[in-house]
Amino acid sequence: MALPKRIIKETERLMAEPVPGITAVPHEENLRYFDVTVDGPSQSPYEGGTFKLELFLPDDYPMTPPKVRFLTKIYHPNIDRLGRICLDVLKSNWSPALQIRTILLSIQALLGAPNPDDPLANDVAQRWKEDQNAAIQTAREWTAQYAKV
Amino acid sequence: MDSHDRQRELVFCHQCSDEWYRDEHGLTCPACHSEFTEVIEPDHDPREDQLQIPADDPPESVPPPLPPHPLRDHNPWANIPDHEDDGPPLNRLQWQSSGPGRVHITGTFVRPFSPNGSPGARSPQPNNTDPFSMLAANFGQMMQSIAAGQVQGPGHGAMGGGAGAGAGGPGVSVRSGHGPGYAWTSRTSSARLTPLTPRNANQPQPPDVPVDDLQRILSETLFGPMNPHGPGPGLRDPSRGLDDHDGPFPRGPPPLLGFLLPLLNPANAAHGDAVYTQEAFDRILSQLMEQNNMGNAPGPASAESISELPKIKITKDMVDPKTGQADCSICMEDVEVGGEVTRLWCGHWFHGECVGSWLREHDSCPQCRMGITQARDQAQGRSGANVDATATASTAANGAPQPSPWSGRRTSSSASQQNAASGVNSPSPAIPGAFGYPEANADEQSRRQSGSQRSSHSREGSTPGFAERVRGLFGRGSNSNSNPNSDHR
Repeated sequence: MALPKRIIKETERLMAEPVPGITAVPHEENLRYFDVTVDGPSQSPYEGGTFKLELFLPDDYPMTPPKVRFLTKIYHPNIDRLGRICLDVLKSNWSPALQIRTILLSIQALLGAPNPDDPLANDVAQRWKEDQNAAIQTAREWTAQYAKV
Repeated sequence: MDSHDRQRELVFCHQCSDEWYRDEHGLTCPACHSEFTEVIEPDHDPREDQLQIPADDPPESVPPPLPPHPLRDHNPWANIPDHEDDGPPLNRLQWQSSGPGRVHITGTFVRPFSPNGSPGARSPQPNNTDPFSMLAANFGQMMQSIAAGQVQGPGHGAMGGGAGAGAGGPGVSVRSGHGPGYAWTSRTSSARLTPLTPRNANQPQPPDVPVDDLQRILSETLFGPMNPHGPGPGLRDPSRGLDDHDGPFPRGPPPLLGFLLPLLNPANAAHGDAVYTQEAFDRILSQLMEQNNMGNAPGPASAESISELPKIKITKDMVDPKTGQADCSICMEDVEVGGEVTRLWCGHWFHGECVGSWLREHDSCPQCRMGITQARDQAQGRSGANVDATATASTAANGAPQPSPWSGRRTSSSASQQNAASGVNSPSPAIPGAFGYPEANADEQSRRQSGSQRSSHSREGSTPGFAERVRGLFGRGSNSNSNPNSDHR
């Protein structure tokens, strides 16, 4: 199956004009599969960490959203222990006008603004609500432990 | 006897199997008057053809004693080589003639009752001709065999009369049997099977001589042959097939209820609605998340409403004034001035094919999320001219921040309808360039502060959404080229 022109264009632009703090490199053997890194936003518990993700563009992309998953362990109320991400633009609020670039920016922003009211990792969200400082401290520790290169 | 036979000829009736002396009744049957009779000669006995077996006790009323029946002492099994190393001895075999042409054989098989068929403690079965008792006894034996091994296909050594037979080979014992209404065959590998072995305190024994116990029987029943060096295959390696034994054991279907095995395989520990492991739960949850990926997304737009969308020509003010280019934000292909595109009621335009394939799944503008069906209704409810005016009104709307229809989509359908409605009802129609995007270099801080990129919970209807800002930053809004304030790159 030929690679749609849109994917080629997106990839080219990601290479030509990379987003600060974000890298997305397609696999040579599968140009729909990207190795992604996202830097933790400053002034967040994830600051200083570099988080690895995988991103896959399904066959019907851009009519369906990319599949994105954290590979680096992260303590976040909207990211579960398998790395699945609860993010509306990855699901029901996907739009074909969104792009890899915008999605990754959304994910980076999610790190800066956890939303424990719409959790995916229930235990994390519970702790985030009950003792936010402790939860943030744990997130920092996890970042130091798993996300430092 | 021979002289006596020669003196008096015996006549046999083929019709009713009656017999009489020729000198008494002649050649016609005295019982049925049939003429289909035959004189019985020493070298030809028609009764053999009929498998007629005389009763054990000839009636006393017949003056001369009946000649001994040729089959009287015949044992049909006598010359069959007994390939069973442990053939069942037959006790008290009894023959009874229960009628013309019928023989009823009863007997008792005494069999050792040991799992692998080796001669063990012989426990005579009750001397009982009750078929249910026989069945029960054999069923017990059958269950033992099944618990120990696997049922196999056609086997040998089947014996009539409802008994089991065991055949032994090196390391393998085959059992089979059948009786009224049932038949079974089982093969047991004694290399795998450990029979019930009594402790022998006088000789050294390997430390791990297993003894048949309930757990082992159960596990073998459920798992099939078990690798003695590890737990059951289902517990050992979830990634492997269930019957993927690497041991030197014969492979075959699980002996019992193979459908239970997936339950015990962590990689596949689901049965119907029930899951048994965290992994299975995660997998199913992922599936559900996939299936409902777009669950809350708007439903499809009607084909009619899609076909009603106006097709317009790209004009100069729709493309980037500097580069003279614009692209469809769905396929990212360039469009040129004069090319035909489809414009939604909200004013955003795309390739007709591109937006059509999206709208057929989700009635939502890819740029602003306004539904076309509802936008059309709203627009037609007001005035058709208003829609036509959108393109020209865009210049007037430039730079005037509007409540973003995008941001309102996330709350609920009703809220989005309100937003969409407000977008349509607003003095300046919702034109992409009219959203008042923040400047392209809107700093990351504001993006983070918004915290509204995720979901309905935190999204304020009045603040521009994150995705919108991102689109302003990176995306290329279809009509944004016409807006000098919008830095789309």
